[in-house]
Amino acid sequence: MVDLAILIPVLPALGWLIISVFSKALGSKGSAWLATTLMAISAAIAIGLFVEISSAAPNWKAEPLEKLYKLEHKAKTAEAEKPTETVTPVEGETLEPAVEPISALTEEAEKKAELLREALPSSNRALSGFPFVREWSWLSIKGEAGLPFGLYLDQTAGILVLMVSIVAFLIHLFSIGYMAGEERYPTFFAYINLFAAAMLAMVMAKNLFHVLLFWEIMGLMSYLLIGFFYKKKTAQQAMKKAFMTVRVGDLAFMAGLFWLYASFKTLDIPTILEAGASGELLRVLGVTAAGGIGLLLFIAAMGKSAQFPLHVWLADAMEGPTPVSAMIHAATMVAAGVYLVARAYPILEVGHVLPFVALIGGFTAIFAASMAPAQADAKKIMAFSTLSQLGYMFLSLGAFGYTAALFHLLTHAFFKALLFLGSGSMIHGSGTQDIFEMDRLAKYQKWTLGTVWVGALSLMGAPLFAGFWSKDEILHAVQSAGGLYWILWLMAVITAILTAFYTTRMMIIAFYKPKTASPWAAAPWNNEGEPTLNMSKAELEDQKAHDHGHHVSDHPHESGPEMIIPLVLLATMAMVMGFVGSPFANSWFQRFVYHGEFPELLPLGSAIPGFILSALLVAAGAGASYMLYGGARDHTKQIAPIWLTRLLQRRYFIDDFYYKGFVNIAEDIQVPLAWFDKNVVDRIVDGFGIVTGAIGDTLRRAQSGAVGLYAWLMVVGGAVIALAFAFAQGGNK
Amino acid sequence: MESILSTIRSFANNGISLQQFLILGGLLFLIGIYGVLTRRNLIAILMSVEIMLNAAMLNFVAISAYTDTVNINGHLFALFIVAIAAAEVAVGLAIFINVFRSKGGVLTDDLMEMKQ
Repeated sequence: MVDLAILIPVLPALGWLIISVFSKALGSKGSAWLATTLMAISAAIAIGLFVEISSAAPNWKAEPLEKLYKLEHKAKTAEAEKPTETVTPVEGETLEPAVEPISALTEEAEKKAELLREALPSSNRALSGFPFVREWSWLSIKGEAGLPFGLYLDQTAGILVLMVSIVAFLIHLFSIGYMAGEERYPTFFAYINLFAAAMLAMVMAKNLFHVLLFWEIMGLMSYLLIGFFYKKKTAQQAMKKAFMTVRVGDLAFMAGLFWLYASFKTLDIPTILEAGASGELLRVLGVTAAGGIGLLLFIAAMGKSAQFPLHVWLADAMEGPTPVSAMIHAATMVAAGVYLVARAYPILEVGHVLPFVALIGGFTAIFAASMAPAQADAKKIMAFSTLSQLGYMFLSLGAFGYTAALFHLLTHAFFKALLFLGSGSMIHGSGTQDIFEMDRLAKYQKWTLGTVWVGALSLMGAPLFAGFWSKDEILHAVQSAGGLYWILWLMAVITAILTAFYTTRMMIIAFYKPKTASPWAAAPWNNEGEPTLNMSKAELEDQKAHDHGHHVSDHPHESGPEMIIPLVLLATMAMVMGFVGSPFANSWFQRFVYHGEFPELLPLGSAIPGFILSALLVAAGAGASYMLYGGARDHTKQIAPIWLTRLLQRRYFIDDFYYKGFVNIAEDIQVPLAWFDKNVVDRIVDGFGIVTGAIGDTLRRAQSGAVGLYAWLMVVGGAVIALAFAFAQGGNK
Repeated sequence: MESILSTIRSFANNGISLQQFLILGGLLFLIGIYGVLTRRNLIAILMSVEIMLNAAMLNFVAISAYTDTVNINGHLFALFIVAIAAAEVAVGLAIFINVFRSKGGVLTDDLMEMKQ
């Protein structure tokens, strides 16, 4: 399977190529099924690859290994605490004079560890050759190493490949039904195929340069897909917004890679990880450089994963078709940022960037969660919840909860894909994105109702659902980070309540309430156009006039089986996935993606208070939501003060600030530049053309068409040249 | 008469000098140019061009034979020219046939159409 691993990204990329070239011959259905089949094969290979990785990886579950790591941990901490102890020099001989005398405790622990290490059964060691590496020469000139393209398949890559390929496959399957009847149907499949391929290639890449390469392909594909309905002005604005915002991060990414290469001489991921573990990274880079590089890489992740202050694009990326939103929010794109930080973890650790990561993550979590309750658009609510959940992941990464962050990334991918595809089914059935305009969907969409509830409960972190286990891990990681992290922990707790609140609100209004007009449609701030997309009222009206596809159905209907099947599969996974990291499975996941230190695993007993707290948070949020909207209560009533609603719907005016502070200024600057280009540069270029044309027009008259005359002129000219040469030769002599 | 015979004899005895070959080549070339410039008939012009090519070929062979006894570069060039000349004639005659069909003649005057 490892030898087939390269096919995982190559197959969907091939799909993109084939569909792009032969979409006419394949037809709509043919293209869609080709893309989906290729993705399915990729997912199948990914499953095989994952099985192989998990069987080759060291088996952390084993009792002796756990003992060994505890001993190593003890030795390490004892060594770290050494300067405070009164060091008693070991009598007489030390093996190497350079080694400082170590305390008896450490020595004993290390001896025991050594014994254990030797006695370790072979099944508990990593197989030789793990993590798997496959390399192909690339850009090699005259036998130099060049920049070989390699796959680096360790636990992190294995999990991400598995998650991305499965979720992407289900999204492909869903799109077959959802996108039916749209213009450019084959193109859509070509795009999402390449999107998935880029993400898959990125998580397997061995070199950070290739990570950047595929990162950029993803940026392009997200641009094209967000603007898939490119005739809509809102989509045009949203695609530009997404691309330009992420671009800010990309610039930082490149700068970070240049700096890293300049000072560390390699971008090879395994080398960086090893150097991080052995302390070489700190020695070569130093804290300042590592801090700078780490910060730049984190800014890149902020752009891609939409963390504050580069979060503005994500909510507007909803202009794309719903499967694209699912793709961006679950399988690809935003996961890339988390992946990058996880890959560059040693650099961030050495450079002390992690507290900053935690701060940004924690802030984004609560900041985004606060905006969601004031939204009327189902997809926007989901978008803000993604922002908030990504904030959780960065918070966890920043609080040394590496495994918890990856765990949440995994579970989030499944339940968020489920929620987006579910909302797609809701939109498909009801003809609107506005939860207020949806008419008691619970009556008409039984399957959608059930599956979306699973996703919603998982998002809230209701006990036993996937999000519960991972969110709990994060809260635990932040709590045990100590120091000032308790503030972030508090923010995470409030976020959990808010999440439960707005998710319940969405479920109640969309599924159980009759159709009403959207309460904020006539609000004054919504009548000044689309400020988050910098569109005036006239432009928005103009779009609405052309937008005759929008029709709110009075009789919502259930979606077809090709949409329901992915939902059911995702719902199953959203329920099951959480258990791989739960105490019931002896925290299998955390042991699997082991990083650096021995993961501190809570036995079931001591984890229970955390679980109870999580459950209480969910109950508080959901209960508050039910008290406000549930039952027979009027859900359109304005509850929050009107200024607060305005503030939240305008997203704290940050988008306005960016447009006024940067975009519009740039547009003002381009006015004189455009004038200069048009009136000076273009005139000069035109001038060349006019002069050339005039000369040609004059000389044209020499072309009489008399062949005999041409022959004469040719002979005379040749003779003149020959004579000139002859004279020149004579002159030289 | 005697003088001519002696010249022939001297040719036979001494061989022909390079200079004489070049003079012959030059004469052939001028004949070709003359033909190209004066004739109106396209076929005649093509024949003149062939004469010019032969002149060039003769020079190649002669210079090669006299100056370089080891390599046969000039001879090879000559072979190329033969091949190209054959192709040229084939293409040229095909064009002339089409010109004749559409214009009703193969004189240069029939083709003066580039005037506006």
